[in-house]
Amino acid sequence: MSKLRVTFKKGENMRYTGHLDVLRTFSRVLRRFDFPLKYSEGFNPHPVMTFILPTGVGVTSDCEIVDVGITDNVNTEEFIKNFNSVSQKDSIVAVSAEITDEPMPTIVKANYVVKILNENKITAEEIKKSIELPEILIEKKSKKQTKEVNLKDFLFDYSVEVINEKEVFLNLTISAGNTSNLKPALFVEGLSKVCENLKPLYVLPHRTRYIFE
Amino acid sequence: MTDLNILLNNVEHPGRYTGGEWGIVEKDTDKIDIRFAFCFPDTYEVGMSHLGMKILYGVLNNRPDTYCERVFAPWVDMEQQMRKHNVPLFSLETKTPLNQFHFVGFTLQYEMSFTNVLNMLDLGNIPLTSKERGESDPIICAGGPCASNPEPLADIVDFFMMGEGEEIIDEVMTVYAQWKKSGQKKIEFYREIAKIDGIYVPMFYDVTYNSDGTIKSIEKNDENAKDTITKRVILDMDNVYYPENSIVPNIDIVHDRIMLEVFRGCTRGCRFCQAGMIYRPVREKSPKRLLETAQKLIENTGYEEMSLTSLSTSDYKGLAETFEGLLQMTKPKHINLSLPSLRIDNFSLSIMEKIKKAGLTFAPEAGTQRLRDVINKNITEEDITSSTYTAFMGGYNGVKLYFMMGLPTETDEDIMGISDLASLVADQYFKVPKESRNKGLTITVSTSCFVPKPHTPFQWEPMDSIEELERKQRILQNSINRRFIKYNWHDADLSYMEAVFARGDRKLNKVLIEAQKSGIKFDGWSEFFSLTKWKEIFEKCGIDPDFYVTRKREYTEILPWGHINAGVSQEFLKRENEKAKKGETTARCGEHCSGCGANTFGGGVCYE
Ligand code: SF4
Repeated sequence: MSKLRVTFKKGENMRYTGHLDVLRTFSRVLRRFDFPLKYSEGFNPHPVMTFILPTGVGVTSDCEIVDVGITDNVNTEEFIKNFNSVSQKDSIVAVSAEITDEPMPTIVKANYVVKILNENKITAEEIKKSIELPEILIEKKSKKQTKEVNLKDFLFDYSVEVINEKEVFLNLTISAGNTSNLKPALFVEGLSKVCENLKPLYVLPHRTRYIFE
Repeated sequence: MTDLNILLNNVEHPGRYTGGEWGIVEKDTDKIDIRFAFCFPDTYEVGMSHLGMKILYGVLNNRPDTYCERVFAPWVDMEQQMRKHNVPLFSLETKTPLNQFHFVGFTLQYEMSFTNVLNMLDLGNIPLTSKERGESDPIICAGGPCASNPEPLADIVDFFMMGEGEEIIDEVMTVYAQWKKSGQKKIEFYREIAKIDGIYVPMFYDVTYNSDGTIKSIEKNDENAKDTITKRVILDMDNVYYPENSIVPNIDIVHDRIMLEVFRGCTRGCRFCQAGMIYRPVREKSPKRLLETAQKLIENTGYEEMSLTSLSTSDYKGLAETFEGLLQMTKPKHINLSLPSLRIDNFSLSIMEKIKKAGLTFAPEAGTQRLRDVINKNITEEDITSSTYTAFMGGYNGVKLYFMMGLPTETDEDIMGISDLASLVADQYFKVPKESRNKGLTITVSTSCFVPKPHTPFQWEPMDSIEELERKQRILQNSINRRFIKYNWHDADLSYMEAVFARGDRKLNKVLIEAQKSGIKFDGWSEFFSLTKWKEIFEKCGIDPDFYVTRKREYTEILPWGHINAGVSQEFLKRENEKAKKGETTARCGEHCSGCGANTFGGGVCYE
């Protein structure tokens, strides 16, 4: 049987949950209506689901993708309706679905709108000037090691807008995917080290779009 | 209010504080007369695992005039953020500050959460004592098992609800709705509810003391108050409200599953067990009702796990029928069934084969038959050896054994008996032929410290001192010498403090207030608990905690909870205590009624 590829939003109610929470919540929604969910074989069967990329704690998204194993045909239009009727509003919202045999596409970049509330007044120019520096260095921790990286190597495009003098909206296109992935919060952390006036009270990243290979 | 994201960006597990889960109740607050903040004095993960909260959340929200919201104790990092940004403690549903509710209700599940009660009030900008609170402050109420000795919180909580809450809380809300229209003072509301069975308004009772600190008298000072406050019980378990939906948390919690309550109470009559006494008589749900509820909960929640809850599931008469029905329901939906507190026999082993293998646990509670007779734990060595043998035959290779230390009449011989019993269990494993047993035997022995609780036959008995308990722990540790037997023990310091509040009186209110001021909270969490800090508080208040812990009470002494009737009579408790001293056991309800007094409620096992 093919699988159902669902594009969904991770809404404000799920912002402070991690990948495993999204996975668990998603599967529970599927179990609240008549859906031919496929389970893995073995002693401890679990729903067959593959997510394109985890969303971290603190991040919301408009463009998540999951492949769900199915044991029967699914009417995609009805699926969207049924799914959203038993999912908490502003949590996980199914946007579109298709039945497919294609492998999951490979992500290379992602687009984010990052909302930052700054402690002090700040201008877009100040931030731009810092982003335009040839190097924005930061320690990047992975499981094995910590190494210094230049955040600029992961940045492809950006724009900045400041409203009410303190609310910064940073539009970023940065590396994403399995080979090279940059968390937007880390970018802001690095940026705040070179941009003296940037002292975020919070950083709220929102994923808007994936760019595929 | 400050943008919560500022706080949430700076704490661990921010998902605890956001609300917005599936299954929450949303109401238009403009159309609501009564706003109720249901507070669980522990973390979100602990509180959301609690069945009682789910039930009362549903009961209150079923009323069109009432909106019940949830509040949990913020972890210390969040508290720090809240205090720094001047954000008062708020409800998860609408983020309303605690002091804007009409009612702030706490569920008291364990004594060591009392400090969190005070700290939550403080974080909610609510004065700590009834006396300090004015007409516009919320009314503070509480219920739950620890309310059966409400005295340590008598100055803080305005009224307590005794026993099971489903009906009484509804009655109180009805009185409140009328009172609110009348425009009268709060005191009139308290007078009105004091007439309801099960309501205890501490300010309507005066307590006087003898020179030795014991209670001289407890007398009511308002004609509406009752002489004795009798707990409430639900008699018709099939028709009482039970939630058919449940809030499904977005983050992982302690018990993240469907909970199906099978019955209330326990017929076994273990003499140390408060739950076994205060939830009498046993009242069961019918298998039919259980299966209907289970079906709805499965459909509404999407949960992948379900567990049956009650004090001793094996005693449920309809277990076989219910289990079969549940199996048929859960199998196709890949739902794991778990049945905790199941005694091991052939039937339960056949059940266990059909469900996910849970750990094997036994609670003999005492190491020798003599002491097990004293506590009326009707389980014999033969029961333990034969069931562990059966379990090892069935492929188990690990077993956990739970014991208590410091039980009345306990000697060092009884302590050594614990290690002998563990050894005997190990022998059962080696009796199983090598080819039919699973490799890698581990036996875990855990001991907790016995804390005498109110409304039990041991309520008059002294608790062992910390030194004595630690000595016994060392004896046991030294006597366990087989490498596959592991020994864990509970911290005696923590049990000591639990004992203070379990049988405490009104004098402890000032201790709690002092403790809150000095930042004591989350005592149930070992990383925060410090007996040294507590000792300083007692010193400051001029109170000797040993008075509550290691002192033997005479039968004639007026106990702080003497005016509370939790269902069993004092005569019965005395009788049981005397039998305990002689090592005589008492049969369980159903076999033989021991006349505990719970038949006055007019239902349950007493009339079957
Ligand atoms: S009155 Fe008898 S049957 Fe009823 S709970 Fe008490 S001991 Fe059990």
